[in-house]
Amino acid sequence: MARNTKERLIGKAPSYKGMKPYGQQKRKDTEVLLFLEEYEAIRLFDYMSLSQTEAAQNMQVSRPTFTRIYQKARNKIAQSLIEGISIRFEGGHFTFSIEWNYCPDCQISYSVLPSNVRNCPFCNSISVTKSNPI
Amino acid sequence: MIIAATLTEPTVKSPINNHFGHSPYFGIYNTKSKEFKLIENTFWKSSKEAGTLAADLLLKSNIEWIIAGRFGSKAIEQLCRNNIRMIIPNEGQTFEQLISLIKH
Repeated sequence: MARNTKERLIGKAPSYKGMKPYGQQKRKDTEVLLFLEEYEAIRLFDYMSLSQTEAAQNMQVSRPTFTRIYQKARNKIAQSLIEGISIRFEGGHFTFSIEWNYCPDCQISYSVLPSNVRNCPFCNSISVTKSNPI
Repeated sequence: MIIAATLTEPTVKSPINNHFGHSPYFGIYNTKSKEFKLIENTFWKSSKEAGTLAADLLLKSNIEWIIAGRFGSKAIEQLCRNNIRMIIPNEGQTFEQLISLIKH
């Protein structure tokens, strides 16, 4: 069985859902799904002008994997531009760069700091679960 | 340790406000000296960048934790960069209740 795809770290999700071509006579039903990790690759490499190595480190993938994600993003954007298909940001294998945990005793969610242990900051309990409050 | 929280009313018994940037008051509690201080959020009505301005305001008080009902994406970025721990309690919990949960 093939190995599961590793989750890519995402710093910022887009604040809108997608893009539509303008001035078309007939609307096409198809759309391109741009995965959020592909959006992140474009953001890091093209928008923030990082090197591929830096961008790969940011997303916690290897440099060749980053290149593959980036290439797919370029292909999808090109397809959308040339064929006049709308783009929707959806899906992919990703996780946000901040990890949130939930403590059922204190009923709080808290962000896990990079240097920190995962225990609940209030009661020090270790029986915490991962959560996604945002 | 210094803990900040978003407050709806200017008292320690106030429930935690739901939005970080648009909260009218911030309570600041020092767990060592047990001192409570109130800061008015002068940016709570600003329609843009309220979260980052509020984060700047709180960073001046050397806070380590911040409690709020919700954080905006820019505020999260800024707080993360400064290594501030963000805490989201269940709805209705007051700052006083949360302080009493700290067991160390």
